[in-house]
Amino acid sequence: MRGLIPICITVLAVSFGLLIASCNDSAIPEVELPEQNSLDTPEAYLRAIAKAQTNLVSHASSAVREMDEEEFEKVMRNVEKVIQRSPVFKSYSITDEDLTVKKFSQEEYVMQSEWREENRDDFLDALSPIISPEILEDISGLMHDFLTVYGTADIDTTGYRAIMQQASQDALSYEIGSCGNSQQITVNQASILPMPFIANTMGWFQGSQSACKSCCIECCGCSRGCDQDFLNRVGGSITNGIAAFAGCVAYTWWSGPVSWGGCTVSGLAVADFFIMKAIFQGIGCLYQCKNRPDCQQCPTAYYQYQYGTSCQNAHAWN
Amino acid sequence: MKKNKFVGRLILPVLYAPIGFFNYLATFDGAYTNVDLLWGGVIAVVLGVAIFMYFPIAQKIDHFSPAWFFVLLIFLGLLGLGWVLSSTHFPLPYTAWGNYAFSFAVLIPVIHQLFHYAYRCQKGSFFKRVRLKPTDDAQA
Repeated sequence: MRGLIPICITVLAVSFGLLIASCNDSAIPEVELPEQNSLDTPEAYLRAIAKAQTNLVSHASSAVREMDEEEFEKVMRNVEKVIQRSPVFKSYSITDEDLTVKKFSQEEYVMQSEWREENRDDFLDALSPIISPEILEDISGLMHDFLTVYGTADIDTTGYRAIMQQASQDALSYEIGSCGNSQQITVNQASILPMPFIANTMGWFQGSQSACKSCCIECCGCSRGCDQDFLNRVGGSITNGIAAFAGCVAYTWWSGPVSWGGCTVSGLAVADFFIMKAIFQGIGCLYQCKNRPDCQQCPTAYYQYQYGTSCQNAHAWN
Repeated sequence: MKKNKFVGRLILPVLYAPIGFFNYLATFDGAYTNVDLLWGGVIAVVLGVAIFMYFPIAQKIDHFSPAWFFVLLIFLGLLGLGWVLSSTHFPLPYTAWGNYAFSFAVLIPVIHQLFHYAYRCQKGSFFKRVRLKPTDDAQA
């Protein structure tokens, strides 16, 4: 568990770094970490970890900003080479389907843990041009202390979510107004390694925060194609109309003369309401997502992410 | 066929209450939890009971009476709320509840009309307005 956390944070931090580096040249101030003795609650630990991660992001973004594209690609290819050696990596292929978050089986988890311990140094070496080992050590220490004191019960979900959210918000607070969504999309699409896939392969996120970072705020609601969404809605509308018609016929058959005309109108009216809604939402979707295949390629994980967090908060993930 | 008002009243709750529930579940695209299922089911039961209880009320409500406007208000309120919540910028549970509200709202006028004219209308025509049977008092 201990070795897993810093690497995980690293991977996520890199994507943060990419985003920040891509759209703002201003320097990002480093956040001061609290004194060790002030860490007396789980929340304090999470805050401290979030701050440390923000520092990691700041450092990574500075490093990436100074690199040209070729250098950066080289770093990412090195990371990829290390990850590809993972026994678990081989059992996953990069397809849309696999971008949904999968949980490791116990056997895969053990296999991955062993591999991670053995390859930790290689992985960090590959990332060293971007990631500061000192800050990573800070995070690692904090996480270790946190796990020692509070155990591992909730950290995979609540803990990480809080950490990531705080960290991303902290990072974003330096970026407000300066980061155009289009730039974010460009950078995400240009990433050599799909970050969601990495986080998925690493098996650390039950949720899908890292996957969601690849989606821009403008992509909210565009996780599936507009046409498919529209057709699904129209299908649902017709079904609802038929259900309303059937209910009406059943009821009038029981309570009086069957009102075929009335029930037809009822069924059509019900279907019409739903179809109108489908049309409006379809137009909204086209307006929002047209010429944005990047939006429609958002992984299914985004859908799952949306389940737990509002779209407004997606700002913080980009 | 012999009419049984109690059984007749059960038809709409049984057939219409689940429509909203199924729309609600469909929004999750299979990603619903047991809690979502439970709450959706509870609300479906509550709505079913509400529809059942509405039967005698609907028969008393005259067009353009305060009660009629009140029902109209509930219809429009739920419709608007459902429409807004089910837009894509809200989190999935909100969207699902929005669809639930919208589905039920759309059925309110249908339920009202069916209950209002239940057992009282003469054979209907697509081209003529609904005519009620003369009441026993009027016949006397």
